Amino acid sequence: MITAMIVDDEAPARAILLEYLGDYPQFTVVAECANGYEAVKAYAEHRPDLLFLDIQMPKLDGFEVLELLDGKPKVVFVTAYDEYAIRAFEAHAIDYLLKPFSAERFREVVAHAEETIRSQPAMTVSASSLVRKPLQRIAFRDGGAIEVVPVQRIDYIEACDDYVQVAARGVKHTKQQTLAELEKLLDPTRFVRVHRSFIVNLESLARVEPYARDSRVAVLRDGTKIPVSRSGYERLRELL
Amino acid sequence: MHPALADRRRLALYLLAWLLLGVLLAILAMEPGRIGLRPALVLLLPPTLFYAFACLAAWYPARALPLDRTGSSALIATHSLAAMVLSSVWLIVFRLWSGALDAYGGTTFNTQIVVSRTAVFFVVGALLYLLAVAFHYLLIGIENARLVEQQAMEVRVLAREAELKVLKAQLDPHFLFNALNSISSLCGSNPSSARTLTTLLAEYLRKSLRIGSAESITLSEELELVSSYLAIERIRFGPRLELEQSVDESVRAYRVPPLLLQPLVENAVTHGVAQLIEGGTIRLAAVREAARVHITIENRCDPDRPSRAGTGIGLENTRRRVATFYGEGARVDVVDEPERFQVTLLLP
Repeated sequence: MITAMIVDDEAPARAILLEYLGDYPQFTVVAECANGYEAVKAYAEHRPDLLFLDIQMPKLDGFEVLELLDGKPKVVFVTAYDEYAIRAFEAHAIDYLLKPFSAERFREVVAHAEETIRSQPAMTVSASSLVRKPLQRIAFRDGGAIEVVPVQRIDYIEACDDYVQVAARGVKHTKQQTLAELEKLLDPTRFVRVHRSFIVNLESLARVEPYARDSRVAVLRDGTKIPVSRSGYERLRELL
Repeated sequence: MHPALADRRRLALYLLAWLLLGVLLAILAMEPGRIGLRPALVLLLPPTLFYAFACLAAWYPARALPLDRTGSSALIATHSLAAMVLSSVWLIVFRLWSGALDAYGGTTFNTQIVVSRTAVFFVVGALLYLLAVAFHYLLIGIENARLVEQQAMEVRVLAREAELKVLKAQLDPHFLFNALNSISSLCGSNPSSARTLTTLLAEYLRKSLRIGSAESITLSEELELVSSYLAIERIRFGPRLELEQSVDESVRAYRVPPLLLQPLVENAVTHGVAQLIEGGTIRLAAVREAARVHITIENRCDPDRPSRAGTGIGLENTRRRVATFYGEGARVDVVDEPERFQVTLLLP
C-alpha cells in the first residue's frame, strides 16, 4: 500500500489526479490540499509516501512546500509550465506531469513512482537547491504554524551556530540554515554580508558610523546597530 | 532650431529668392540717365540681404501663433506690428548704408533715393515681411504634415504590435494548457461541464481572432471577450474568483482599440486573485462621467507580493496604446495599494 497526497489549488486539477489514481488500487489518497499551508499540515499528519505537487500556488509554491516538509517524500510535480521541468529534477522529483496529461503518461509516472518507493523508501532532497533565485520570500516553521516573510520586509539576518535568525519589522524568525547558504539565495544587490555573522537589507540601512579605530557599525532605520567588518564595509561601499 | 537654417539647401533657396527680390528692387530704383543698374545694385542688395536674415525672425511669431488655433484679429495685429517694426529697422539700416556709400564715394544720390522713397520702401519692407511670414507658415505646415504622417505610422506599428501580442496572449500556453487540463478532468466527472468549457474556449479563441485584427471595436465586444475569458478561469479557480461588473448602457457602443482590457483583466487574475489562498473579487466598471468614459478594473491582491516588473511593462503598453488611439485627452491611472490594485482608463 502506497499513500499519496494531492496538492493543487485548482479543483479540476485535483479531481483528475484523484480519478486517475482510482485505477491503481495499490495507491490510497490520504489527503487533498488546495494550498501549500494545507499541504504542510496534512503531510505532518499523514506522512504519505508520495506527493502530487502543483508548482504555481498562492503564497507557498510547490518548491517552498517541499522545503517546509519535515520528511523527504517522493514527489511528482504537476504543472502547466514545462520551464519548471529542469528545476523539478534538480529537486530530485521522481517525475513530472505536464498539464494536461494522458492516462498513458500517468501510468508511466505511477509505475515509476511505485518502483522508486519500493526500492528506496527514503530519499534526500536538498531543500535550498529547490528555491528559485533570487529568493522572493522565506518560509519559516514555528511549531505547527507557518510564517512566510517576503524578503523586502527583512531588516537583517544573523547567524547563530547552525541556524539563522531573520529580523523582519521587529519580529525574529529562526530557520535551520547557514548564513552562507542563505546569502547565496538572496539578491546580492539588496542584501549585503556586512560581517561574518550578519547580512543587512540595504533598504533598511540608515547609515554607517565609525565605531572604534578601524571598525564601523551599520545603523538601521529602526535604530538597530550591526557590526560591519572591514571586508563588509568594502562590499557596502561598492554597492552604495 | 530654425527650419530654414537647419537645412542648407533650403537656406540657399530662400536667399536666392531674396537676391532676385533685391535685383528687382534695384531695377525699380534705376533712373534713366542718372542712376544705372550698378549703383542701384550696390545700394539695394546689401540691405535686402540683411533683411532676408531679419525676416527669418518671422518663424518665432509664426510658431507661437499656429494658423488653426489663433484668432484672425490676433494674427493680423501681431504680424502687422512685427511688419512695421522690422520694416522700420530695415529702413534705418538702408539709410545708414546709403549714408555710408555717399560718404565713401562723395556722392549724394544714394541718400536721396532712400529719403525720397521712404514711404515706398517702408510698404515694400512690410509686404516682404508678410511674404516671409507666409513662407514660414508653409514650412510649419510641411513640418506638421510630416509629423502627422509619422504619428499615423506609429499608430499603425503600435496597432500591429498589439495585435501580435494579442495573438501571443490568446495562445498563452499556460492559459490554454490549464483550460485543457480542466476539460480533461471534467470529461470524467462532469461531461456536460466539459462540453460547456470546450465551447467557452472555442468562443474565446474565435472572438479574439476576430476582433484582434479590427482597428477598433465597441466596448460591448471587448467585454464579451473578457467575460469568456473569466468564465473559463472561473471553472479553474471556482469560488476563489468572483466577478462584479457594472457597465452603463450608454457606454456599450463606445469605441475602443481591440483587446485593450483583456490583458488588464488577465493581470488581475494571474497576479491578483490567483495569488490569494481565499481568492477575491475582480471589479469591472465602465461609466460615463462628464465628457469622459471611465473604465475601472480592480482586484484584491496579496500584500506580500513581490514587486513585478512584468505588469509594469504591460501597463506601459496600455498607456501607449491609449495615447496613440485617443490622443492627449486620455489618461491611465494606477492605484497600487498593499491589498488592492486598480487601473482606471479615462477616455475622451
